[in-house]
Amino acid sequence: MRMFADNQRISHRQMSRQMILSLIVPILLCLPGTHHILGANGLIGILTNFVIYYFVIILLIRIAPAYQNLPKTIALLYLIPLVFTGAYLLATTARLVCTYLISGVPQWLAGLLILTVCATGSHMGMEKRGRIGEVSCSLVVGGFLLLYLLACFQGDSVYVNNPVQGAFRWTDSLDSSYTIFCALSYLGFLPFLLSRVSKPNSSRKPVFAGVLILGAMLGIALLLSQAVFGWERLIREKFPILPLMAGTNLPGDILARFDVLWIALLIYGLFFSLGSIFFYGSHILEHAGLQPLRLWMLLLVYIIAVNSFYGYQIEEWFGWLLSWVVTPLITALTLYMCLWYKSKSKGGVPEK
Amino acid sequence: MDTCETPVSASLRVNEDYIRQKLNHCDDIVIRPMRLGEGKKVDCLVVYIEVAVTNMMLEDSVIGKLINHFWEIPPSQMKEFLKYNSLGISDVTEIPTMEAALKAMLAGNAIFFMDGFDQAIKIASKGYPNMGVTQADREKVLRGSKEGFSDSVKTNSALIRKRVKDTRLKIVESYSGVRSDTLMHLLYVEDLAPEELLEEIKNRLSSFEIDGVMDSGVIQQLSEETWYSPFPQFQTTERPDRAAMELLNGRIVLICDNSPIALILPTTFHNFMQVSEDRYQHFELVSFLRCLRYLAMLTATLLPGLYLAVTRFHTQVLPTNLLLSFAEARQGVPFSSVVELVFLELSFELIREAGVRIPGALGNAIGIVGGLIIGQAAVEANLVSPIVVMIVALTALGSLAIPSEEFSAPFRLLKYLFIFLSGFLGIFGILLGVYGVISHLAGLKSFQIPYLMPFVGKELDRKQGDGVLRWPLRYMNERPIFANQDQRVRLKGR
Repeated sequence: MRMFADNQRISHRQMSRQMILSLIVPILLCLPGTHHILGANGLIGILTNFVIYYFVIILLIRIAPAYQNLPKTIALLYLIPLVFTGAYLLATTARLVCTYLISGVPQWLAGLLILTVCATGSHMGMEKRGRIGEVSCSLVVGGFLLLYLLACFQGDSVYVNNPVQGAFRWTDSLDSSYTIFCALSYLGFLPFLLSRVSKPNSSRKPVFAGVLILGAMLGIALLLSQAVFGWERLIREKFPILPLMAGTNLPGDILARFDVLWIALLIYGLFFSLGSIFFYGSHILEHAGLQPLRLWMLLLVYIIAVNSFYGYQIEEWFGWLLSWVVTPLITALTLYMCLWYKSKSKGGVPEK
Repeated sequence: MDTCETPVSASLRVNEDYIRQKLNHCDDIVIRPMRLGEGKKVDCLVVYIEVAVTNMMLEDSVIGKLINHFWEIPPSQMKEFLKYNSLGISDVTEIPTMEAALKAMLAGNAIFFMDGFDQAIKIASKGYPNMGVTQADREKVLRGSKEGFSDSVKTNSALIRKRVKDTRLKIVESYSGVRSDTLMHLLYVEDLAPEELLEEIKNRLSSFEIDGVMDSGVIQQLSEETWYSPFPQFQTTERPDRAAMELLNGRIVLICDNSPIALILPTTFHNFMQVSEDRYQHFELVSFLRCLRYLAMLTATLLPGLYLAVTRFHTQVLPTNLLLSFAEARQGVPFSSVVELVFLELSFELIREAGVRIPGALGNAIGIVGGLIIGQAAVEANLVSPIVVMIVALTALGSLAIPSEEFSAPFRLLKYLFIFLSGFLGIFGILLGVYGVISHLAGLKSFQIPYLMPFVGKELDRKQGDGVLRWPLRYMNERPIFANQDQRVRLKGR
C-alpha cells in the first residue's frame, strides 16, 4: 500500500497552498495601506520581486538539506522573527475581531482564544498542516476572487487612469520593492518545509507559482482599491481591504450587508497564518532539541501582543521592525546557512 | 496441539467425566450416552446445546442419519466408518482435544464420542437460532437490493460471496473475546486490498483482550486510532451489496458474529456521504443529492449557531424587514435566544431518543406528537418563538439527511458547541470552532488514509471521479485510493 499518509511528507500542491494561505491575508491586509504599496510603484515592486524571488527560491531549495542539522544558536535566531510576527498578527487579529466582529469582549480574551485555537495541535506534524492548507486555501482564495469580482462593479476607471496619481517614481518604486521583499522574506523558512516535501529538488515550480499567485492577488487588490476609492482616500486608509469588503455585496439583495462574511474570511486566513507561525516555531524548536521551549514561545507571543493592547502598540513599530530587523535577520541567516552548507559540502560529507 | 490441552481419550468414561465436570450446572447442554452398533455393544456419547441441534431422531438430520446407521453396522466397522466419513456427511471433522471439542460444541455443533476412538467428531447442525436475512432498516434505498445482514456471521459472509463470486475474495476467520469467543470474518479481495493494510488490521485486532464482544461496535471502538475523536473512523453497513461494492474498491470488511452491522475500513469523511444507490443512479442526480447532503451537514452543524450570531451580534447582515419580523416573533418569550434554542434542541433530542426506544408504531406517534403538538404548544405558551421552531426543524432535517447515523452524531454534538460559541462570541466563535474542527479533521487518519480524502491529496485520486460531484459511470475508470496501485483500473472499453 502507498502509506502516503504516514510518510511525514506533503505534496507540492499542499506545500504551495500552505505557502499561499500563510501569506495571502497578511499581505492583502497590511501592504496596501500601512506600508504604502500603491499605484504603479506598487505594481513595479511586485514585478521586481517576481524576478528576485525566482533566484531566491532556487537558492533556498539548494541549501534546504543544511537545515536538517540546524545549530541551536541559529535555531534560536530563527525564532526571533517568528515571535515578533506572531505577536503582531495576534494583536492585529484580536483588534480586528474586537472592532468588526464582536464588541464588548476584551482584546486580551479574544487574543487568548485565538492563540489557544491556533496553537492547539500546531506541533502535530507537517502532514496535518499541509491538509489544513489544502482544504482551506481554495475557500480563502476563492472568497477573495469573489470579492474582487463583485468589487469590479463598484470601481471607476477614471481613478485608475489618472496620469498623476500613483504615477511611477524611482524612489517610491524602490521603496515598494523593498517592502514587498520584506513581506515575502518569510519564504526564508521554506527550507524547513522542504525537508518534509516529497521530491524537494523539483519544488521550484510550485513555490514560484505560489509567489506568482500572491503577487497577482496583491496586484489586483491594488488596482481595485484604487479604482473603488480613488487615490486621495486610498493613501489615508490604514487597511484599504476592509472598506473594500464593507462596500461589496452580493447582487440580488440576499443579505443587507456582506461585510461580516468577508471579515470572517479574512480572520480565518489570519488564523492559518498564526497557526503557521506556531507550527514553524515548534518545528524549529523540535529540530534543535528544544521542545520544552514551545510553551515559552507561545507565552512570549501572547505577552507582546497583550502589551500592545494596553501600551506600546506593536502595530505601530512592526513595519520598522520588519524592514530593519526581521528581513535583514532572515537574509543574514539564509546567507550564513548557505556558507555553512557550502563548507560542509566541501568537507566531503554534506549534512543530511 | 498445545501441551496444556487435554487430548481426547480412547476411554469414553474418561471423556465423559471430563465433560460432566466442565459442564456442571449447564442445564441447557444435553449429554446423551447411548449404546450403538449391531447388538448395541459400543458406548457412545453425544453432547450438544439443546436448541442449537436438530432433534436427532429426525430422519433427515445429519446426526439422526448417523446414529440410525450406527445401529445397523457391527462395532468393528464403526471406527472405519467414522474415519472415512462413509455416510458422506458434508461437515464432519475429527477433533483431537477436549478443549477444541467443547469449543465446537459451544459454537452450535453436536460432538460425538465413541468408546475406543481417541478423536471427537464434530457434526454440524442448524446452529444457534437467529433472525435470518431481513430487510436493511437503517440504510433504505429506492433502487438496489433490499437484503440486509443478519446476526449470523456465516450467513453474512455468504450474502457477500453471493455478490462477489470470485476465488480471490478471501474470508479469514478469527475469534475475539476471552469469554464470548466471538467469531469474526475478515473479508478482502486478495489482489485489491493492500497487504500492509491487512497486517495493520490483524495487528489492531490482536492488540487487545476483552471478555466479551457482543457487537461490532466494541471492535470498532477498541481499534480506532484516534479514540477520543467523535468522528467514526470505521464505516458501517447493514447492506451486503454495499459491503461487496467496497470490497471491489479495495477496502476490507469485518463482520462480527451476533451483529448485523459490518465494518468497512479504511474510511474517509466523504465515504459517509455516499449511499449504495449512488452507483445505480444517473450522475446528475447523484451529484445534486451529494451537494444536498453536504448542505444538510452544514445546516445540522451551523444553522442554530449562525441564527444566534446574526440575531445577537451581527444584525446588520439581515434585511430590516426580516430583522423586525424576528424581533416581533420573539416578543413575550421570557428566555434569551441561547436558552430558547438549547431548550428546543434538547426537546427534539428527547423526542428522537424516545421515538427510537419506543417499540413499533408508537415510536412514530411520539415523533408526531412531539413535533407537532409540543412545538405548537410551546409557541402558544410563549416559551419559544416560531422562528426558533423553524430553525430547530431545519437542523433536525439536516441531521436526518446525513446518510449515516453514526456520522451524523458528531455533527449533532458539534451543533451545541457552535450554539455556545456563537451565543457568546458571534461569528468569531463560529470561526474559532470551524478552524478547530478542520484542524482536528486534518489530523485524523483511518488506517493511514487521511480522513479528508478526496479533498486532500487530489493528485492521487484524480481519475476516480467520485467526489462531491460524481462523474458519469463510463468515465469512472479507476478504483479509489484504497486499492492496490497496480489494480486501479476498474472499467475498460467505454
